[in-house]
Amino acid sequence: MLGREDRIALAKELLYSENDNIRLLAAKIISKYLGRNDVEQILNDYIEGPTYYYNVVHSLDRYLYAPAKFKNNSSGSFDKI
Amino acid sequence: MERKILSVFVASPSDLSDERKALRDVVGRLNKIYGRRAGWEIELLGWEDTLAGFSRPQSLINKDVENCDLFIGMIWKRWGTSSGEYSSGFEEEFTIARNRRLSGDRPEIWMLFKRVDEEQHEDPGEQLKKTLDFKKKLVESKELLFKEFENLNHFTGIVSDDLSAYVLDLYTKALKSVGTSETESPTVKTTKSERVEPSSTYNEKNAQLIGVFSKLTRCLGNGKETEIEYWERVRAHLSTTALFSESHIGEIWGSHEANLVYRKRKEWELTLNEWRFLIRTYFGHASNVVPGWYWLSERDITEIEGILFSLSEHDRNTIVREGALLSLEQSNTCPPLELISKLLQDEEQKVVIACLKLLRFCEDINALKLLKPLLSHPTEEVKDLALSAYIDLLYLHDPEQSFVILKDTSKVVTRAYRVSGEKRNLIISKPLLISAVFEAAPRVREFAADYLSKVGSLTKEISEQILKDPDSLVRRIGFEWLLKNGEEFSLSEISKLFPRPKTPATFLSLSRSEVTEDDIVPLVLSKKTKEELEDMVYFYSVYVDGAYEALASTHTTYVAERLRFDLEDHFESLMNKSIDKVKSQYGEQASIVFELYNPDTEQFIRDKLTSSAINGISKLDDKSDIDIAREYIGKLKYGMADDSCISIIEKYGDTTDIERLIDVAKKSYGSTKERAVSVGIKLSSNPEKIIRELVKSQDKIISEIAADQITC
Repeated sequence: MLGREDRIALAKELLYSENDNIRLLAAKIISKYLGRNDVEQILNDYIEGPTYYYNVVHSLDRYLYAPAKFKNNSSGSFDKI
Repeated sequence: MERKILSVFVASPSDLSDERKALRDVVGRLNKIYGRRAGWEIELLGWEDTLAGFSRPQSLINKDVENCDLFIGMIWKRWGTSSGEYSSGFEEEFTIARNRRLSGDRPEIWMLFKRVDEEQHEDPGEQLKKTLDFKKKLVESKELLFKEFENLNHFTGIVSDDLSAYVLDLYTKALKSVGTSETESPTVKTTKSERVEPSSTYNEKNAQLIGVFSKLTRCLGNGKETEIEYWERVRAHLSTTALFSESHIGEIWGSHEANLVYRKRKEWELTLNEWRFLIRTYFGHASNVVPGWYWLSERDITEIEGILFSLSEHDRNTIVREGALLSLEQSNTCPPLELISKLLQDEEQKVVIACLKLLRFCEDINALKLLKPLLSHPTEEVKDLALSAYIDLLYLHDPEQSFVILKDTSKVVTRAYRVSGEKRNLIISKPLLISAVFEAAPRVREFAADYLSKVGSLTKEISEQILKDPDSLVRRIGFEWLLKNGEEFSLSEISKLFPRPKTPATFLSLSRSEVTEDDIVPLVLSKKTKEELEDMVYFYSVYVDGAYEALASTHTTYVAERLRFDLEDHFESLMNKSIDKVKSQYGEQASIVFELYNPDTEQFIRDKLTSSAINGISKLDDKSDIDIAREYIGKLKYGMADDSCISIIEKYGDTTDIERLIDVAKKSYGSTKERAVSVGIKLSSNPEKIIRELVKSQDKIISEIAADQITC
């Protein structure tokens, strides 16, 4: 429905939503549609803003710096069965 | 990864050359295992003296002994020949190693004695006598530990196990001292100077911090505290809290402070102490509001896992230990068995529980031994988790035995069985499964019956037996099999088989797991013919709504016109026919029947019938049904037709339906709410505008659903 640029612009705005879940969703969209450098720049700008939310910082930090296996959850040996 | 070398010197007289070669092979194998994973390599010194024609001067050999981290001495029958100052080369090497050990903490000394037959003790000869005397002195002095071995295989097993354990111990100790190079094992030798700790910038970091504290001292000294800048105060706070935590009870920071420091992550070069403190703070927070992966961004996975292993075992703060274990769980990482063993004996129950949860990633059968003592743990949660882990792990190695334990002892179906059951690839024999249907706890009985049914192994005889089960969920499986295979049940039989609970469901008991006739009757009705169902559809029948639903959903095409007529007519014709039928059936007594149905009851039945009719026509792909959807969406007090109305509107609706859909979204829940919002946005000619409006909705769920549509 929305084009890439519209999605990103909207997601950037929603990083400041009062709703926790929407902010996390926005962070997820940004991580999905932007390259690493752009995401890092967004994080840098975000934490220097007059107000910001800790769960967004947590989420972007995890996306940017955690190894892949620490980003995902799954289930164990029995998935191999 | 930093490579670390463990220098091992092997000393023995010439009669143990096979053992020396075997030791070389063991070392080669261990290097393959631990070289890559743990960053440790064993360098074996002295083994080359085993090669034919190869010998070195004792002075060169002694240099190796001077530098080794681990000295392995092996003795059998021979003592060897004099090296000049000593009675043998072995004695000289052992003495150097022992003297080093007595004056410091290196090398570790292991003595291995190959067993000598008792008969030979009686007449040992000169060489053997020296070795026996040496052993006797060793025993008496109690200075060193030693082991005896029988043969080459036994020897290989001992050195393989012991060396492996030793390397793992060094690895764990190195992790424990992560970030504190001054406490690093003295046996470590680095072959590359790749950055592992920020030690290469140690002075600079300290200089940065010293700058802050110098200013603090100056300002505090001359009474000009106001000149201390904000970030200097924050840095001082970090540094002192880290120091305090280290020597106190392992405190960590709150989210505010951790986020504050995160803003300076690229400017500040942390001391090791500060770095450790921030890592601990990160893993100690399960609240998802503390960032911290940046501090580990230059570490590889093995190092991070090592840090987590170390934190889980050694941190003074239980929250940090639990957090470390949770991170391991989230990354599907199972710690080494040695660590699991320690964690399972931890005095903090939370740690034991977190470790048990991790065991689902463990495939090592040796973990069973560790779990066994917990199977009789006094705490139910620990006992249950241990039992589940035990059953699941055993399933990987001995499925039948695992299933026997599940059948005999477990109240729940464990994860391995749920996964295998889902995939229908359970490795359990049919007779064992059948025995579980009758002998296990209710949920295991249900699982076994359901699995047999899914894989086509249920029979009429078993199904009939299952119908006698005291648990209704188990009975349902037998019932469904019989119904599917042509068995007929009257509605009164169903009432007996699946009675409604005697006590009505209260708010607290709504979630109870029981199958009643309300769940079963639709199954039976769905098997009936169109004519049979039409006969049952009259307003004052107990089964009117069920029969009408079955008619609408099972014979939709054949009754489509009737459904549309009923909706248009609001079921007035059906009502009138039903009144006539009751009157002809009961005569003057009919009024008693009518009195049972007050306006609310009638409305309830009408709404149920309306829902069934709309649900039926929504499957027909007829554009003209849009009017029905628009008429009924959000209008039924008791029915549940909104999902079907939304489906029709999604296919044939337009922008005029958006408001209608959003109104429904505001009044509904769950998937209906979600569908109403997403279809509303989909029908919009300007989705961005409507998403922007909806994310500001007072209804939190609507705003989240709208935001979720950004990616669609």
